[in-house]
Amino acid sequence: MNRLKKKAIKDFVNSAITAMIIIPVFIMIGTTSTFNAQLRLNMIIGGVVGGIGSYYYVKRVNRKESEKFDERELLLIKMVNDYSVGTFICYLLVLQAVALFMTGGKGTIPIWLAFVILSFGLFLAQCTASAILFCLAKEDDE
Amino acid sequence: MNRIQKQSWIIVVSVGAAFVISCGIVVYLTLTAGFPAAWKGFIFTCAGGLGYFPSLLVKKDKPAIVDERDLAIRSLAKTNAVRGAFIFLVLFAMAVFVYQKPGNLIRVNVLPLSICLAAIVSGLFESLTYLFEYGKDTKAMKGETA
Repeated sequence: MNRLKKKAIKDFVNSAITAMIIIPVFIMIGTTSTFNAQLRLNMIIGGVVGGIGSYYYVKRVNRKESEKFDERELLLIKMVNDYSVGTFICYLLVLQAVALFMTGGKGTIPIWLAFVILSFGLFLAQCTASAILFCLAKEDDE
Repeated sequence: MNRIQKQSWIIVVSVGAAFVISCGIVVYLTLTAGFPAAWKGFIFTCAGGLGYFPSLLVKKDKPAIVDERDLAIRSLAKTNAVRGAFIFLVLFAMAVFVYQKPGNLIRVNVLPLSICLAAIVSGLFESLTYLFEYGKDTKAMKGETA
């Protein structure tokens, strides 16, 4: 297994773990009646600030790791990132169309759903990136 | 000034003008109708997206040479556009969450509106990156520190 496949698997596992933690937390914050409004607000703000902090930490670690890759591998990673962005945009467009058709023009949705939508979109984008990177990585090219 | 810089200026000016006009409308609605009706004034920010169409009419450069530096700037601009749009979506969701009470319901029309605004913000970030990066090069050509 080469470096790209290892990276694809590692990224997928990281995003799956993050999604498994974050998405139920957002659903719980939104639906559980034991939390009062102020506590929910604090939890959401804490979650978003923590998410941004962890993003920059992961980015810093990835930057150190990316020095190990050669030009072809970096090009593949860049291409895969483009695909993941495209997936995220398509997901958002399809989702808002589905929401509009399901609830009607004057329908309503819960506020906390926005965070779940964004978190799941990130997970979906990372899944796509990992799957494509796994398929494109050649075997034994080291 | 190359074609991308001209297009970027058009988009930056149109989005900036639309935002300033919508702020004016919000102030006007605040004085006349008060909140929350005044929030509707920000819908006019979407008009900034109309700047995309005149930017298509800018003439192409005669010697269409694209070097590695141009490709690097384009790549950085696309990355910044995506980052800007995502940060906007997170901040928008947080703003709605803070403004409304948690557990409340919002109109489903907010979803397409937020996506339109995110697209405009991504265009703005892309244009600003082009202007900033090409501006640095122009300074360097004049002998200043880039």
